[in-house]
Amino acid sequence: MPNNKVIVVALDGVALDLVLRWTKEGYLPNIKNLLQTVSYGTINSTNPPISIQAWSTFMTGRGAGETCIFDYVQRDFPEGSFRCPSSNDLKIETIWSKLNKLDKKTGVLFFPLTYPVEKLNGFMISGLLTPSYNCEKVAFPEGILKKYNVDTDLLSRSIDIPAVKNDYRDFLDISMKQLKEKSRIALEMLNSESWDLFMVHFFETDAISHTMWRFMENEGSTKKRNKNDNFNEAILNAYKQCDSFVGEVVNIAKNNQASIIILSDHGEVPVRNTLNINNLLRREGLLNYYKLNSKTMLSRLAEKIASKYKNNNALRLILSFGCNSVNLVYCKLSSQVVKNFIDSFFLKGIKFLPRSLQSLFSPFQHTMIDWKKTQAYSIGCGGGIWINLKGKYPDGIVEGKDYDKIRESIISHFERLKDKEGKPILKKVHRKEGLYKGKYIDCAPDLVIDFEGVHFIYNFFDNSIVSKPVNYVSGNHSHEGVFILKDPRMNNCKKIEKALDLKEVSNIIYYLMGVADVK
Amino acid sequence: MNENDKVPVEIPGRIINKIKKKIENSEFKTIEEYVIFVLRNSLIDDSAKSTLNPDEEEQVKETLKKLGYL
Repeated sequence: MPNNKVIVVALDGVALDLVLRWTKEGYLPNIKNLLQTVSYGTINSTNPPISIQAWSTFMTGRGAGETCIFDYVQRDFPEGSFRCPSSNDLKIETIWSKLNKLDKKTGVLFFPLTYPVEKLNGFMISGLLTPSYNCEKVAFPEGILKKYNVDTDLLSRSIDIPAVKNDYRDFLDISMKQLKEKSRIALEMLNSESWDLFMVHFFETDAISHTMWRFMENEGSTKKRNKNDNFNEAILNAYKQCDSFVGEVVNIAKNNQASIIILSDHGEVPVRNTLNINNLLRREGLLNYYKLNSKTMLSRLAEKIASKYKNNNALRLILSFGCNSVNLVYCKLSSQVVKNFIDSFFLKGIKFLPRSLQSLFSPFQHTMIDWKKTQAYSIGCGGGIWINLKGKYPDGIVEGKDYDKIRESIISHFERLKDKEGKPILKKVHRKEGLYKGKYIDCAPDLVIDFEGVHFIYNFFDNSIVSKPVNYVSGNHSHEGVFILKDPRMNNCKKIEKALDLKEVSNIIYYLMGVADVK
Repeated sequence: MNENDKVPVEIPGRIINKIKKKIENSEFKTIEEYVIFVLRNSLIDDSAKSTLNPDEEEQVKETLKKLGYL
C-alpha cells in the first residue's frame, strides 16, 4: 500500500467535456501533460448536484442523509426556523479530522461549509458561506492570514450577479482576482507549511460558468463574439488559470512524492428552462403567501438600510427615519380602500424596477408563507419541495395519512410540465427515500426536482412558472464531475469507464496515504 | 524543542490497562495514537466553534442572493 502525501485540487463545476476539448485544442498545456500518466474519468455527483451537498459528501465520504447538509437553507424542526448551515451542522467526521487522529497534518483551504473554522492539526481558511474574511473565525492557526498577506477585502467582495444586465466586466475582474489570490495563497502554503494532505477549493470556476455560459458559442468554441470584451472566453480563462495552478502543483508534488487528485463536484450544461417551483404550488392551491403590502416592503427596506449602513450612523438614522415615517403614515391610514390603492400602486411599480432595486423591497420568501394555508413549499436552490406536515412543523397542516397522496399529486403536476415543442421540461421528480439513506432523512426535502437543464428561481415579483433562462444563469449543474488521479508511480493513462461516486473519493485518499482502514 | 520531536512520558500501568481495553476494536492502532488524540482534543478550545449569529446569517444570505442562489 502506498504511503504518499496527497494534494487535492477541487474545481467547482468544472466539466470534463470542456477540459478534454480545451486540452486537445492546446489551451490547457499542464493538464494535457498530466493526462499522459493519470487515471481519469467522471464523478457521479450528489442529487441534487449542488456544491454545498456535494462537497459535504466529499469531505465526509457520506451522503446527505448522514451529513444532514441538503441545501443552502435548512429548516429546523420542531422549531420551524430557517437558517443557513455552518460547519457545526455537519454531522459526520471529516477527512481531516480522521487523518488528524492518525497524526497526519492537513491543510484545508477555501472549502464550502468550513466556517467557523476548527482548530486542527494543520491549517485552514474557510470558503463559501463565510460571512466575511475580516474576522478571526475564518482561519486557523491565528495569524496565518497575516503571515501569507491574504487580501481579506478582495476575498470578502461579491457582486450582485442577478442585478448585472450585460456588463460582466466587474464580476469577471473580481472573480479572476479572487481565483488568482487563492492560487497564490495555496502555492505559498504548499511550499512553506508542513502537510500530509493538502486540499484547496476554487469556487470561481462555477460562478463564472453559471453566468458566462451563454457567451460561449457552440458550447466551448472560443471564437470572438465582440472584440471589445472577452466574455466568450471567460470560462476558458478561468480554466486556463486553473491549468496554470495545476502546472505549479505538479512540480511541488514531484518534490514531495505526493499524489494529486483533481476533481469537480459536478459539471455544467446549458439551461433550457427556468422554473419557479413555488408559483406552480401556488397555482395548485398548495402554497399561500400573506398579502404583500406596503408595510412589509417598507419594513424590509428599513432592515436593508440598517444592515447596509451599519457603520454610518448619520446616514442610517436619516434613511431609517424616512422609511419608518412613511410606514407609520401608511399604517395610520384609516381607509382600507386607500391602503389597497397604495399597495397596488407600489406592487405594480416595483415590477418595473431593475432587479437590484426590487431586491431591496423583497422579503425572503419563507417569511411571507401563510403556514396555516400551505401544504408544500420550496426553498434553497436545489429543487427541494417540503411537505408542511402536522406535528413536524409549527402550523403544519398536512395529516400523515395524506402525505403520499400530496406527494404523488405534486409529482404529477411537475412531470406534466411541457415546453413549447411539447417536450417534458423535467427529467424526474425524486422521492426522498429514493435518494437518501441515514438518520437525518427526516431533514431532507420530501421531493427533489431533477436539476438537469433547469434553473430554479424564487423571484417574489415574478408570476411565471416556466420561463426562458435568466441572463445571470445560462449554465447550470450537471450530475457529472471530473476525476483525475496522478500517482507518482503511474506511467500511462487510464480512462476509468464507470463513473466514480463522489462518496468514494475520501477512501481513495485514505488508500493513497496508507491509512485505508481508517474508520 | 522542534515541532516534530517526541519525548517519552510516564503513564501509570492501571491507566495503560484501561487504554488497552478502550482501544480494542477502535480505529486506534496503538496506545500512543490514542494518548496523542486525547491530549490534542483536550488542548483544543471549542469556544471558537459556534453557529452563525444573526449578523453573520444575514451576510451569508445576502451573499447567496447576490450569487442568485436564493
